[in-house]
Amino acid sequence: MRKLIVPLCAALTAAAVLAGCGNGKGQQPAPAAAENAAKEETEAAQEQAEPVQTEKTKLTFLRVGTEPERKAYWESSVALFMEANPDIEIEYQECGYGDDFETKLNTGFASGTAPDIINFTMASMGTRVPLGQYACLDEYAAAWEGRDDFMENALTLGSVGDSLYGIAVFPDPRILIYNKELFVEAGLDPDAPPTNWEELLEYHKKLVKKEGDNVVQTGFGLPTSGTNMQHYLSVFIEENGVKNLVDEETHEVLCNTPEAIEAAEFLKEIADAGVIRWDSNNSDQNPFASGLAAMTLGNTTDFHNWNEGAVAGKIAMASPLTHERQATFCGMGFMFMSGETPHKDEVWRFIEFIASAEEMWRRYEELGVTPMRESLRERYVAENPESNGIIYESINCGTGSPKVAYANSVYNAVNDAMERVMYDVEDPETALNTAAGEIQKEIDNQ
Amino acid sequence: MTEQQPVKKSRRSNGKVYDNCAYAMIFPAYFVFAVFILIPIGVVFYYSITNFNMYSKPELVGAANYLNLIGDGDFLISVRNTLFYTVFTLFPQLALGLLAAVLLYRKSKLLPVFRTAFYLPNVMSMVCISMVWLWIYDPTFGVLNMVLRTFGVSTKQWLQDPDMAMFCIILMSIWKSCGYSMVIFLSGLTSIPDSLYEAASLDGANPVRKFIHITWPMLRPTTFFLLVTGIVNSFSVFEQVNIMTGGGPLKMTTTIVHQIYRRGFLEFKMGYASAMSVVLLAFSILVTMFVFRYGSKGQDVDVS
Amino acid sequence: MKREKRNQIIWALGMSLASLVMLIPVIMMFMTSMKTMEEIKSPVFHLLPATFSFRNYTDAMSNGIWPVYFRNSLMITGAAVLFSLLFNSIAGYAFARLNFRGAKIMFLFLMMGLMMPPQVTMLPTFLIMAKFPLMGGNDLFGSGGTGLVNTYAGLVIPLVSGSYGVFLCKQFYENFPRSLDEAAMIDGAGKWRTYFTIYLPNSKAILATLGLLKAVSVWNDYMWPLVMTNSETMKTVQLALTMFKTDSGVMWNQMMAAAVLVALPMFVLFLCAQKYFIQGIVTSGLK
Repeated sequence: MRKLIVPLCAALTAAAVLAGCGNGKGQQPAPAAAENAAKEETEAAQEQAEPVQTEKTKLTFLRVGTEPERKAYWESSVALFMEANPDIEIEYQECGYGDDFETKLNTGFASGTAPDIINFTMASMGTRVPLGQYACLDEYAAAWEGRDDFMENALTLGSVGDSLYGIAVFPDPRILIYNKELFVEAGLDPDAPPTNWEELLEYHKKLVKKEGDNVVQTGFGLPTSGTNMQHYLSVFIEENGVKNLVDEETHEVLCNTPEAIEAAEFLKEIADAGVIRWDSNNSDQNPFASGLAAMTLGNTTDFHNWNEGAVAGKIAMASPLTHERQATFCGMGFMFMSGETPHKDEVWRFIEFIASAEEMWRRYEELGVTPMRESLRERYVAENPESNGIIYESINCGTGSPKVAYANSVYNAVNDAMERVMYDVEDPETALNTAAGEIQKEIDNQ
Repeated sequence: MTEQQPVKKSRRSNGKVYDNCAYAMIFPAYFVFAVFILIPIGVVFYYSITNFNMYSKPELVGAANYLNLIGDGDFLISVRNTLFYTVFTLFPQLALGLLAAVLLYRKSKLLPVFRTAFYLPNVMSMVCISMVWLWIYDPTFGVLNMVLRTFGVSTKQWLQDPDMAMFCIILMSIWKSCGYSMVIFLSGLTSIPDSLYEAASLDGANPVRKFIHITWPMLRPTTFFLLVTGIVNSFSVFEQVNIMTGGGPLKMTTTIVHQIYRRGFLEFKMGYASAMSVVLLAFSILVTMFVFRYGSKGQDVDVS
Repeated sequence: MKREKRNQIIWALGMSLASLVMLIPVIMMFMTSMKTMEEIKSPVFHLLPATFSFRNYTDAMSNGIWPVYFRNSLMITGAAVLFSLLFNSIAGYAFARLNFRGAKIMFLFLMMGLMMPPQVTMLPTFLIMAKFPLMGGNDLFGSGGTGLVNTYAGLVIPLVSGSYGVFLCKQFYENFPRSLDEAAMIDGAGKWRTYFTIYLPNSKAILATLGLLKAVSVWNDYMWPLVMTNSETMKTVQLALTMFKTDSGVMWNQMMAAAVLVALPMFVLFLCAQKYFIQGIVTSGLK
């Protein structure tokens, strides 16, 4: 008996491998002869599958992150949605941030088992839209009631070119956060945070404390290595009037324009005046959290976390800095429709539900997420005039990661360049020119 | 599997006896290996000559990926770092593991406690352990600098210092894996017959002589195993690098698999990453064959 | 006699010191698991928590469905270890002691399984799993369903192939005195019987080693369960640990508490396994 089963298994597996590897999208390239031979089985399988399809549409929804509070929110929205739409069943799945999530999506798309609805970051659009993994939402948005009410910048951030691909749910602006107590100690007005570069540098120098050569307290808590250096550079080059690290439409490299180099030089000047080195991969290392830095850039979650830690009650938010213009970096969590899903209409119904004003307000009440509809703006700012205005403003003027297919190469090149600047290996101009060269090579390869 | 099959033997013209039942013995392990590991390795070879991006249909690009590797500065740096890591992790780890195993191979009530202390780092989750080491290395509040300060030595930047970062990772890796070497050495020690030591004692040999003349030669297959798996494992070091430094600062800690991961999974250049893996594989095979040739001589120690 | 006693004390003291050094990070981890988040974030480092409390443990375990995660991990690890021990030791014996055509080349191929970084083969292996014929709604040609994805079988099968285990057993058996084989041959025992009556009974140490190492590697594996499981009810403990990592920052106190509990079964397993690392196992077979 075993003699029979084993070669059979081997043959089956070999067939499966050929089928699986020959075609990444999972369509069936089986030769016609074999197809005929297997017709009976296929028909039998279809008979089984059909009644399931007529009953309920099954969708899978994969969201990024594993926080219990957000999980509770998502599970309740999925339940609410299924109550209102009895013909749709949604299976909720989750996976942690960063590389894990990328891996999960990669394997899903490569094997044809990708989720139908995806909640993921703006940065993912650059690579996944050109691959066709996210579906274009224009035809649905045309008939959508929220189209005109939605925050304009949020729609812009969710578009590649002129086409809409993602509906924003979780805005994540980088906000200037400062420590009032340290301001007072250094003789600065705790209610007058810096508003432009000159003030930032001046305050920074006043706040730096040294013991011998060791910096024991810094002003602006600037990281010196890691994969988030590009966020810091982005913020400052955009304040200096540069559109982004690269131009999304013309594919022109902008990270070595004179204004961008000036921004990098400014950051270097801050570093030279005294910083505590930390790795931006690890936000836990940010010296601001332990009261060793008086200012830093962080998001609203950072603010809440810090406000419960060692610097509780001493910190406040400030409006984004202005140099040539007022700008900041704004990440964003989006709802995406899988490019592969056979149930586009049903997926849109769920996305529309999540983007509705009621759900938005529920997100604010349960998770503190900023609503992004003009009709909710006043109500939101009224809830906490001191900081909510700043948050809304930061989202509205925020620019995100460049949504280009080679985005990850841009980050790598810029991060490496900024590390070389921060470790005195190269001056800003040389480093950014090298980065621009690497990026240009990627663009030419596309 | 448990049924006793008649032993079939075939005799070749050269007179060597073959045990054909060996095929049945290796079948279960080899079959699973062939289907789930060997075929994927073959697929990786195929990817390495394509422009596969994890999603669209791969197109053949010939040797382009391999040629690009030669001019890829990051890859060359990662090769250098990986070799550096291997040399400075493997030997201390083996030496410590052997020392611990020999010292902890005796009768004592305290034995389980000591053995556990050495092995425990190996079972802890890498994520949590890496975090603890990040705290240890923290330039401002870290334990390491605290110790230096109490002795009046000037503090270091550790992971933030390009010249120190790799040593920090190496130290942590040695700490994590020397218990693993100890376990394998311990199991190797159990296969050394007591009678050898008894005979040596009668001849009046001291412990050092016993170690040199009995333990060390008898542990050869074990040492060899640890050397080969150690080299191969160190060549693919990734997790602690990814968590603790992300390859920085200034690429001083980036390793081959870290580059593979970054290119393949973050930049979607799976074809290119596959070419790197094939090079890594070829390199591992070469080194292993070298070790096999010079390291596995004289396995059968003359017991008598 | 007196000298022996003195040596014994020096040994105990030396090993205690070495053990303590080895345990520092583990102790730090354990202490952190009892601190509050404020203590962890506080700029001044204290080894001991302000109050010894196991609140983090209860809090961590009430997040998610931990009994299910533990059950999954135990089942996967148990199955992988059991099959590895069965398959790998006998294959290791064959490679160590038997002559057969292609042995060298087959072994070299097997070694490739150790050398290829798993990150790269993961995708093709996953494709094979997803396209596995006649499983999970797949037809004979592997399309239509999800194959072995999100099943125990899919999680376990690739783990039992064991290049590592075969190599380990081979090296161990090569160390066995040849006189054992000769004795068996004179008795007229075939290779199967030699393995089952002489080699296997003398393999306690190596089976304990392999079982332990395999269990630890499967238990701590993160990547494969990450891609192979989708639902909450299939999650393993390692996947569940990432629950405490959030968008910005990690709940380190709860995570360390959960990590201590997650390491506990492996700790117990080690205590059981290390009993087999004692002197003179082979001797009985020799005489």
